[in-house]
Amino acid sequence: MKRGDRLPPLRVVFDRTDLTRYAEASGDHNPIHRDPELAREAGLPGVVVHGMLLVAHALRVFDRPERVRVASAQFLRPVVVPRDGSVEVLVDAAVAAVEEDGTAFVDLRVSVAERLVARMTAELGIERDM
Amino acid sequence: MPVGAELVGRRFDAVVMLVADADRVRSFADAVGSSETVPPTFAPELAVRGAMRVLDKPESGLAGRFVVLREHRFTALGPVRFGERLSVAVTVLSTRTVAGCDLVVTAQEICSGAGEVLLTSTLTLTVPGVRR
Repeated sequence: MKRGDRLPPLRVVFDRTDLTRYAEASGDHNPIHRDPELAREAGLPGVVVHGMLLVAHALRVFDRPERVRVASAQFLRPVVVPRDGSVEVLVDAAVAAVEEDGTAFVDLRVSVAERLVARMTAELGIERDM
Repeated sequence: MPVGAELVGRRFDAVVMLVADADRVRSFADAVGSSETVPPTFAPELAVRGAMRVLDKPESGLAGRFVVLREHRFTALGPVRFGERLSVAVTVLSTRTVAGCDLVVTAQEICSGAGEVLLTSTLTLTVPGVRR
């Protein structure tokens, strides 16, 4: 990994079943991830993907996501999942800097239909057991 | 005054959230399409749960309101091991109102059963409206 490298882009598809499974596995039962009426009451256009589900998938852009020591995510726009369909998310990652010891800083852009929905940064530690 | 202002500066001591047994971690890994033993967002998600738990307390003035993630930054300091009893301590850092939208910023510490800090995180949440 060196400065300026672009990682192979990652495409992730979410449907309502994915959200239900994540709600159960994570304990996040916020109704904005299952009920379109309540999501609209919360000011959202419809049922949206859990922010941390989006982050979990975005980090799969790395061969070894377990190297991630620090990550930050800014959720800019809701990722809406239609009732009977799905939404495709694209994750682009570019290496911003690499330190002498191998620590790498990577910028990630998460988009839907070429609109940015989340901006992330990740710091990847050197290869060693924590 | 922004919502939750009464809580600013308050620290909610660590509360045990769960035991990271193999089944629980595996179902989480399956739900995020991860092939790793413990996905890197397992502890960060628990930090979000801890913050939500605090904001849902009656004294927060936020109980029953919608809460939406706006920003999350986390730093892993140690590994989550199977069988570990994980707790979360939460501090409410600030609240403010931006363009009619209430924002709450909280800091979390995920601790092992032995009290070692495994993860720190800072969350910004928006509180868009009243849930009926």
